[in-house]
Amino acid sequence: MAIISAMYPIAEQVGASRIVKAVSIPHPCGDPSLPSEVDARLRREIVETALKAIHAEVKQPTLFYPNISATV
Amino acid sequence: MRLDLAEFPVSRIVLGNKFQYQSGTLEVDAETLARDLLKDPRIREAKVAVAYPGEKVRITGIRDVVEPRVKTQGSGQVFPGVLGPVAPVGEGTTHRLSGMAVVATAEFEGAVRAGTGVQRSAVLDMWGAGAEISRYGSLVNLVLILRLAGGLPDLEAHLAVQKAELHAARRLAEVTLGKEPQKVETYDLARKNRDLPTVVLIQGCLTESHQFHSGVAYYGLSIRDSLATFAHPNELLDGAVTVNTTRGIGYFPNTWDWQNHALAMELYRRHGKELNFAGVALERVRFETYHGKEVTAHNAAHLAKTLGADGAVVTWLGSGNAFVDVMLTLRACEQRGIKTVLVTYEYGGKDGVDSPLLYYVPEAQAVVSTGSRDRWVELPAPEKVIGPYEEIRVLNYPGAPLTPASGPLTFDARDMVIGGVDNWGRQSWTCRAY
Amino acid sequence: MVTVVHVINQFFAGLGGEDKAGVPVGTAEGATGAARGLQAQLGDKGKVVATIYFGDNYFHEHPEEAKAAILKEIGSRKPQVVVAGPAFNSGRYGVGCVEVCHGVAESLGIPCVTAMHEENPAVDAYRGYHDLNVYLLPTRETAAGMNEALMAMAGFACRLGSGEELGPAREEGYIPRGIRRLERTDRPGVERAVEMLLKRLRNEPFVTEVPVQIWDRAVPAPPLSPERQATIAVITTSGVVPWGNPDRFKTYRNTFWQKYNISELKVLEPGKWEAVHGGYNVAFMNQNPHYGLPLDALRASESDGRFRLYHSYYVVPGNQGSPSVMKRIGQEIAADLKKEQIDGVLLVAT
Repeated sequence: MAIISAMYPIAEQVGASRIVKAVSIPHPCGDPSLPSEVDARLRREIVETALKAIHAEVKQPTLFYPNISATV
Repeated sequence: MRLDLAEFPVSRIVLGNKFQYQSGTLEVDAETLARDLLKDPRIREAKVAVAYPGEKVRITGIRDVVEPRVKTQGSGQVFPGVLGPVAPVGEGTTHRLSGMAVVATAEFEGAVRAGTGVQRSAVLDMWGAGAEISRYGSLVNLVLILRLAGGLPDLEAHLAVQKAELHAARRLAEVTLGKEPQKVETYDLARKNRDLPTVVLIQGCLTESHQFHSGVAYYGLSIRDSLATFAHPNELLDGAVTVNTTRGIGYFPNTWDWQNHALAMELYRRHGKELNFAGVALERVRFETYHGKEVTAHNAAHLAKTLGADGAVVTWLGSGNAFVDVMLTLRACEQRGIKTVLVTYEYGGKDGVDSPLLYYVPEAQAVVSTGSRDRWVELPAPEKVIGPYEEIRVLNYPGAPLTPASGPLTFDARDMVIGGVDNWGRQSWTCRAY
Repeated sequence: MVTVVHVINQFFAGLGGEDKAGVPVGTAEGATGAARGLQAQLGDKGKVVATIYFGDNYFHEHPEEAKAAILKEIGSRKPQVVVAGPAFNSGRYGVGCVEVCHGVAESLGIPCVTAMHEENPAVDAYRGYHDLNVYLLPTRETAAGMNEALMAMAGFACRLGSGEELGPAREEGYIPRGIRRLERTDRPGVERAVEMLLKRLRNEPFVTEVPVQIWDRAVPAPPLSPERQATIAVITTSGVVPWGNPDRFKTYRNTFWQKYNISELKVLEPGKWEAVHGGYNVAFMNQNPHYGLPLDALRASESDGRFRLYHSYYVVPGNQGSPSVMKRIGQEIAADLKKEQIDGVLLVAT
């Protein structure tokens, strides 16, 4: 399982294994301040990062950062 | 900045035909008061009632609680930026009616369906378990019962309720003009003792930056994505901080609490004797990214350091992820050599076996618990219900069923009781490990 | 006079060390082995009516049988108090003591007192059980602390046997059981807070009222294999549900979860979904539910056949969820995921 959370340090503290850094608490998967196509690309990148995370071997809480700059 | 607070205790309120105060008895011209409130077209019905501690009375629809105060000397007016212009307050003389409160209750629909902007109201029992839980259960309460015009936007509803309660509070306090107070207390930060440590109060404020009212306003202006700012405790005494009056919730302080900030008052009590109180940092908490939380924590600690703090009492209001900002603030202070004590309510679930706090930093070594918000509350049936609602929503969701307020109630938390959560440690509640 | 049953391992019963660790549960009438020391400490205030012993390995290898046998012996004697240990730093013995006490508290309702070193791994289990009827006293690491441990346990046994209510852990000296009780103190919180700060500023000792808590660690699940098409499900705590909130979720403190079918959908249209959640500003989520349930992105990623999205998504509005309730909900969802043969999960948390 991968958790997508803007409060990723908390997920880490409580021992979640695969953690994907999300945008913000009220909109984890995307950013409404962006144009909608860019927002959709960002969401895709977050989901792809989460998919990558569940295919990755981890031994302890591990953070996965979406490549946000690539989407904008 | 020196403020004399002149106290006029109230032990009895009589609904009569004039406004006057004599040896503990406040007479209120209820008809005139109600008529004045009805001058606001947003209010379609206004009534006044009195509730005493010990009476088997339940008050419903509570939106805010306020203490009657009026300034008699010094610049500005009580509740600056709301009742009057933005003029500096905190100096001169202010009269207060102590031992009583104006309890604003109001019925209205609200346009927001869910989320952090939805209108909410709370109840208060004047006897038994409910009165013991709440700090307002021991006050003589003058209850304003308002019904608002239909279809008001939430901001208009808030403005109508707030104007009504603050006007009423000031009008009542005016009965003391020219009278001798029972007691005068002087509040002056300048009276320091060089040999004592400097202590700052860091007040974390959860604010909803996207809502029509953020929940905490300074001189009438909602605190939104602000960084920490300095407030003089005397400003609090004169009502410089006010709240959103469409959301009466047990874990949010009311206007009364800001006027009587329990931690600020305690620091003042020891000021110049055991410590030097250097003032209040109002810190917005509940930033929606971790980055935001780190920055507000850094900034609040930096402000405390600039004020010369050796120690800080850190407290907060609200719920949920705002607590992360608070914990990060403790860390930021400790990293700068400022010793901290956190004052917080705890969770723990119905039976006290769940985690008491949502988040920890290792630096949080000194914590005072003001009791649990989660323990269930059983309230027996009252003999009388005061307020705009005969039925209330115990569960809070769109379309939740209604429960008669005249019957016994079971709450799964103290959120529904106004003053039900002791945010700042006014009372003697705590939780102990067994 | 308080009647006591003392539960100990084979070593302290005098049967022998590791070579005898396989002996099954046995009972001796009256006090035998270490129980004689307990009897001496009880004096004329209490009587050890029976000594029950078990081999450490036997208990470890047959926990259910061992526990059942011990509970049967205790149940037939109906003592007022059960004493188990002290186990010091012995892990297997400690687990035996804690498990027996938990069983007694649960099924017989008899108060229990046990004792061991604070770092004995069994202490965690004790904390996790939250048994109001069980008290664990800290001891030294080794049996050098036998006499003082027995003395403390005898004192607790007498008080528990006479029906006395015990106070908070700190005052009484037992290890807290993870139960916090709401109480009044003699002073308001503001006074306690400023005094605690003054003590810190003077470098004097102080006691926090809420110790920093350490969380459980979960073992990471193995990664998904790229060889085979996985079935993936989404869980969201955002509270995104079909418009109208058909299952009446509350905006806070929910106690159940739900799943909704999305198999026919490519995107989530605004106005057909709403976020029921009292803890964040739901305006963005209502405008674009994909922020909490990224269906558009998942469908795009799914199109190359790497995985298959499960036909439904799981939701519980997370606001103010109590950890024990959320733990149960997590277990229920996990069981459903297993049943539905789902390989991987993305959890969107607000």
